[in-house]
Amino acid sequence: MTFTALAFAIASRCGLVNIGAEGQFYLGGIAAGLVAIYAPGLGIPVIGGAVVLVLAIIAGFIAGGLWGLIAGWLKVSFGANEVITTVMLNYIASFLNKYLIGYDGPFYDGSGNPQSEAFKVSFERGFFIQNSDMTITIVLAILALVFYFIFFFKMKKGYEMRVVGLNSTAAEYAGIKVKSNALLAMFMAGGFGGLAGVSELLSAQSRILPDFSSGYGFDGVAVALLGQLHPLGMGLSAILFAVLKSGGLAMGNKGTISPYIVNAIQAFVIILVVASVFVQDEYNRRKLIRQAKAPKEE
Amino acid sequence: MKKKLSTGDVLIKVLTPIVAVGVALILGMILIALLGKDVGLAMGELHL
Repeated sequence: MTFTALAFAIASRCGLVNIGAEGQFYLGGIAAGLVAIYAPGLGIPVIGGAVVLVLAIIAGFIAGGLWGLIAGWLKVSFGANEVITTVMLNYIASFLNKYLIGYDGPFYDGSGNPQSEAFKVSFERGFFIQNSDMTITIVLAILALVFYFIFFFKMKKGYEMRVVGLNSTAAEYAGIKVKSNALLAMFMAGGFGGLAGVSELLSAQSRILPDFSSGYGFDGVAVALLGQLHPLGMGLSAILFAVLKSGGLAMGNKGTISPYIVNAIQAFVIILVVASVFVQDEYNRRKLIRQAKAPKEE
Repeated sequence: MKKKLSTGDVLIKVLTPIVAVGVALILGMILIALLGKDVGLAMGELHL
């Protein structure tokens, strides 16, 4: 969820609304899955799955990034609203996945169920932290948050993107290339969405299945909003949502309470966090009025 | 020049989402209670 939150946050910093993390998740997962199935057959050395794992991560990032880039290109070339295009691309990605592993698809395994072949590499040694149920995803997520902080708050390119996000007209006047920054932001956002798909597919699944995302792309929007696009905030809110999600599964397994209660609690969180923005706005408005009324210092 | 944030600014920025999450969880508990379920049991299963 941290990755899909980053997919939303990176685009938001550049003034774009990326609702397409779900589609980017699928594309990243498909690319990583195909690498895991076919790369060992191409003579790529398998060292505990490590080489294939790195290749899968790179492929997932690029595939997700290119999927995000489509919406970015449509935005800068034709002015197409990225909210609509990314939502539409989500459906295309989901149905593309279903086609690829469906009965007529090129990656169908012929088993009678719509699914791909099993991954040829066991990622148990490569993907799980030793003596723990945790996967290296948690390390990748922390690294991604650190990268996000350094890129946006310490690097010139990130600063340019933030300026574009705050005021694209002023940015253009200042000589910043608005279009190329928007394209880069959408590629990076899509890439992180793709990484989310990689980590889900390689850690929780053993083959590509239809609907292998359980709404992580949309959860990422809520995580990013709750975290106020701040890396620390997004990390903490991702933990909260992950706890709720895994707790909801536990409740569903025990059958005592409906797991859909979790969806209601998540909806409460989103509504109240959005509402809290109004509290902040009101605070800022009153502060400005106070400052305007206060006598000026000599 | 970097704008200096006052303590109030930082507090309002940090506290509002925390309060929002807290209120959401309380609303969740009320919902579970309205359904006639054991709130303590439900919160335990949600790891909260």
